[in-house]
Amino acid sequence: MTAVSSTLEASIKASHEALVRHITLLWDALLVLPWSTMAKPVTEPRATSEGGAQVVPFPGAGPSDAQLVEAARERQSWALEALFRRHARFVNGLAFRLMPRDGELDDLVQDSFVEAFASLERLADPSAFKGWLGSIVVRTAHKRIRRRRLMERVGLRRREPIDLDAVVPSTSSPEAALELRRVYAVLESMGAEERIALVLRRVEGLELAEIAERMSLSLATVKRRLVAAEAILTSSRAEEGGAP
Amino acid sequence: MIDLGRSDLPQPSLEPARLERQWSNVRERTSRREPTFAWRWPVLGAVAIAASALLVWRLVPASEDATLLAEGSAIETTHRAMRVGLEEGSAIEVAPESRVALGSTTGEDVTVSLDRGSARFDVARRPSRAFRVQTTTAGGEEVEVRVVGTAFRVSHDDDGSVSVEVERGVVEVRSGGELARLTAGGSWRSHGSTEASAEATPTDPPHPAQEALAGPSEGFVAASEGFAGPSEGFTGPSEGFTGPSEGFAGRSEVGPDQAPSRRSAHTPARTVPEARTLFEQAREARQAGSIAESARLYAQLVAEHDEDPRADVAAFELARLRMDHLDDPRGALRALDRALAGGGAFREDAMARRAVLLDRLGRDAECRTARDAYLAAFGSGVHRAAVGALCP
Repeated sequence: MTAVSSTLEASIKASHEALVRHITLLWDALLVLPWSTMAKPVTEPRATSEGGAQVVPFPGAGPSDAQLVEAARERQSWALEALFRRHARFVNGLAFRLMPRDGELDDLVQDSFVEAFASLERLADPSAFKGWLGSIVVRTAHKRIRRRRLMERVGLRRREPIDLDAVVPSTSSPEAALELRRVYAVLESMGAEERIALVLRRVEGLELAEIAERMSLSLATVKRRLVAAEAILTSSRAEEGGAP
Repeated sequence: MIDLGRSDLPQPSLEPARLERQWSNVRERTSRREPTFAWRWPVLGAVAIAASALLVWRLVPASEDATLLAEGSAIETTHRAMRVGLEEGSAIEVAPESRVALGSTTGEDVTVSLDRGSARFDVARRPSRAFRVQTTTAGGEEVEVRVVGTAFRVSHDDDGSVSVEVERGVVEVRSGGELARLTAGGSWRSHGSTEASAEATPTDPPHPAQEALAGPSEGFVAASEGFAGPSEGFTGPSEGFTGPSEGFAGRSEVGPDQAPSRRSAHTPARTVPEARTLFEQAREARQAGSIAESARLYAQLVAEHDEDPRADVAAFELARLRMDHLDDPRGALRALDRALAGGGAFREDAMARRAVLLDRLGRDAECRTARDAYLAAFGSGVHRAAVGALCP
């Protein structure tokens, strides 16, 4: 009987803690989500001493990506803005490393966000927004690089080398700076897919499977692209007399 | 292959102004996009057919009116209106019996003078340059229209005055030491006029010349090399004006909901604007470079709509403006506290800024508390290094 009672108590306590967690989440969401996104308003939660749990009004860093995506799907402009501001630095960083000419950065970032916001309905898992957004940046960069190459080939645009001094941060270690200089020095001589695969691998440090997902390519294709890119990189190193 | 640490990764220069500009463009483009409906394909098909028809139309020999206006040159019309393009993508529809001259077209500044008659300006999106139209009334009063964006008309009227009518976007008119800011549907008229209340309002019939020039006509649509087509240079408002606009005396806002003329003595009864309206107005003011006005509107939103979900964002934006532009650290701190009280998606930035502000104000004990709170909440946050170095 005692054992049953203690089990029941534990069960009640667990249920209670779960309830408190739910209220906490709802309260947090209530503070940042517009009323229109709620089925009905939630009454103000009260702290309780039972079980020692406390409702913390402002527990985290605001709504989750999933919550923001849901609100953004209803075209709530504040949610779109929140998603932009939360991920702007990530997108700018990735875009810059893929296309490190400063003049191209703003267009790439803006195109990526516009495409993402227009395609939110196709995002199966709203909590995976950041990775999905990264894939869009990669695809958008790919399109832009191909378009630029085409313009260079038909003479509508001049090929310009990447300014390595602008790309390599002053905070880099000597080894990292050398690696970055080598990678970015040969990027312009690569095809769009080789180039992106190399940056994702060497600079972003992604695994092959992640690269395949970001680039919407098969794993085998990614491997082929990386082999080709590494061959160009190795050849470049040999020319400059450096170690592979 | 070596592992690159966070400090090794190439990073772009990301000033707040750049992020604001990016967001502004994303917001505008996002709001312009149609939601996806089932009928979009038929509509797209119709648009494609129309575009093809337009292309065929434009491939016929260009009219003699197709002109690219070069720097330092002028165009003078007689009995026919004429459309000219500028190399930087904007277009000018010059009404009959008018004269327009193109002054400088440096990358950051395009100056056009309207010497006579009337012209409609359709200014292409180009955030980094200012577009100005200069003219003079019959009385010698100089008028300068600075383009915040994007389509507007400047006219010499029969009574010797100069009038400005805005179709969309925002322009600023400077004359006689005064500055008027016109939004879509607003109009302005110089002092030379004796008809203070004669300006057009959104409900007024369009100006005859404007009506004549508003739609495509054979003379206007003729193709011109280097001339941005309808899908490029003539869509949506632009954020063309980025120059400083603070500090002008006699500033006034003139829009469709307000008295159309700066000479009008009518003052509408004060009503509390909706939070959404205030938010959008604050954003537009921010884009136009009117920092103080933007801050005022955000503050009004927070004060009058504290329960609105936008109030948190508004408080954060207010704090940023006070901190970065208005040199008001105490005011920024108050706004940050308000923003943090609401939680919100900007908690990380807000907490970091709060620590910076307290450090700036020399409130070391509070700064250390704020710093430690940030590091505890966002130990691997983007501001970790900067905040960690505060108030040692």
